Amino acid sequence: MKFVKSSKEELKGATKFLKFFAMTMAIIGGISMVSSAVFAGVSARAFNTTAQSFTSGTLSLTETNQATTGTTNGFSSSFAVTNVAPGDVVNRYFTLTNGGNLAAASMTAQIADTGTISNTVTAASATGGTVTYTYTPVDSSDYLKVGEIVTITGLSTAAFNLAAVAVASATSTQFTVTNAATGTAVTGATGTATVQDRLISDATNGLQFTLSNCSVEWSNTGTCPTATVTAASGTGSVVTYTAANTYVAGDQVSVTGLSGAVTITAISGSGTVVTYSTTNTTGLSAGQSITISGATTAGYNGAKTILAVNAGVSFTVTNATTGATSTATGTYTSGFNLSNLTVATASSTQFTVNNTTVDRAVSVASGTSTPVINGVTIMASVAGPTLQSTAQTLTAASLNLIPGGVNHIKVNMTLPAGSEVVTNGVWPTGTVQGQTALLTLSFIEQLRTNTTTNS
Amino acid sequence: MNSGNRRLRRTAILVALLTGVPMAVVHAGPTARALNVTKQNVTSGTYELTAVATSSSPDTHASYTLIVASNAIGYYAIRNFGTLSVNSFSLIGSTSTAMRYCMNQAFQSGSQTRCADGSYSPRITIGAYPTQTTMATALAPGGYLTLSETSTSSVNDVITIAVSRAQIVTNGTRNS
Repeated sequence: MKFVKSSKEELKGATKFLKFFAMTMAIIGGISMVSSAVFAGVSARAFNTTAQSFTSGTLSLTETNQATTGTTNGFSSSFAVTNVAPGDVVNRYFTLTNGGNLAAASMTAQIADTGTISNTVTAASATGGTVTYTYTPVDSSDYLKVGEIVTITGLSTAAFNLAAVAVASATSTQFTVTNAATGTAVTGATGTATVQDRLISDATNGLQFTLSNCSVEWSNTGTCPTATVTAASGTGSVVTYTAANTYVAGDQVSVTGLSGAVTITAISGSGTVVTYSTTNTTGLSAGQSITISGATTAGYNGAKTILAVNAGVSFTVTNATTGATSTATGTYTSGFNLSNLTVATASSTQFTVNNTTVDRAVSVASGTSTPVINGVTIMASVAGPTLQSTAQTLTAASLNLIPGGVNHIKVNMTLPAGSEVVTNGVWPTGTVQGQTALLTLSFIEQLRTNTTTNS
Repeated sequence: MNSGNRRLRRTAILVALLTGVPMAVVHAGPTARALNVTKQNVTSGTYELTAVATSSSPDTHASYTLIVASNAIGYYAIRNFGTLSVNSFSLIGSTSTAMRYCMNQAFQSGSQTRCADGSYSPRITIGAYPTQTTMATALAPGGYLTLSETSTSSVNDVITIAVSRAQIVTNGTRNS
């Protein structure tokens, strides 16, 4: 009987749990599911049969030393820059490519300096929350500065080996830091007090950086180069420009100033229409402006607007002039003046672009090929004392890079003419601030969400 | 009470399983970075002109005291111990004194007016402190002047050299 009663109780408990579970499910159903009612087997469904494709994007930034134009492009361990004097300028060239399919926008650049100055510490002692170090600076005329961040190592009293502490006071023989460290005074030591190199650490006096971009490779004279176009012609989908240039495939240029020349063999005026005969009407179209010169009847000369083109025969303009027929020359703006071209191939004497423009060949031309982006300053050091910073972050005004886009970056490093030089006023010596900087350059783009796409 | 808790736990697990409560995952902000891994070494230059006893004397990092007996000739040198050239510099003496100098060479033995190559040694007058006498004489690293000073009385002349940043020869723009 007891067993039966127990079983009943267990059954009762299980029933309660099932009830509770059912109630819970009903609540859940009420919250997140449709009614658990059973439907008849007929359902109506409307759906879009065309699937919507969603694909994530990629952003792939690659920084390489500029490849061809200069002799020592980019940062190179083989070409150290030495003996930099106040007023000196050093340029280095990079190519930045976006190999992804998302646009990079508002990038920042970071110049990091891993150079350090190691001074020998010979003694240390502490009192009243101040640790005093006796040291021999690398350059006695350019010793530690108040505010510099110093790391002390190698002292037998471990408490005095302090990392990343600010110099509170300094002379050419002693410096102090404010620190509660205590311990046995150290003498006759060979410890080290290391500070970050100063060449880029002080934005007022140290190396200043300016980054500029150019859509073609920089010349080795530091300019974003243009080229004089002396001829142009088109065949199929390729336009060829004759120009002494330093371009490489992928450079982006625009061409301006090219004129097409039309040989006019006869001219006749009738009523309000003047007809100019020419066997080559390539590149001419109604509404186009053309300038006529060399006609014996003055009224046939000057700027005209083409009324109609009779292919391979003539073109007409609205003009009431009549007079003797003669030869002349017409000039018009060539269709080979194209913007935002990407150089497909390049040699030192010509370059080609993939373009289907049809026009007559241009020769004896004096056009100009200019970079689409022409040496624009995009980033620069920000003034202000940043003693001992390990990296300077430069913010781009607008360094954007479309997918597949190529930017050529010039890093201009200048040690200002007024850069700090230490003289102690007693003995006649001076040292340009800092020792050696070991620089790295990186471009950073924080991936962002795209804007809402409604279509 | 315990069985009630167990039921609640079971129910909670069930609720979690059935509703698929999402995990709260914190993502780091993704960053695209292009980095040039090769480091560029940039080293500043130094300029350091010091008055020393002879052109081959080591750098003392101090002003030089020239002791000249009455009616005697004292010699000393100024050497560029730095790595940068200067196009001029200033001399400051504790007394105003007339001097002669030879560029990158010594005086002819026994002569104060002739340099070793036989050329005449130019004459200058160094003003007394605080006057600075500018020497428009370029000195490359390692370059030196040999100077002579004649005094009509015994004198200790403390010679100091001053160089300003504007007197440093810059390297200009380096593109490679």
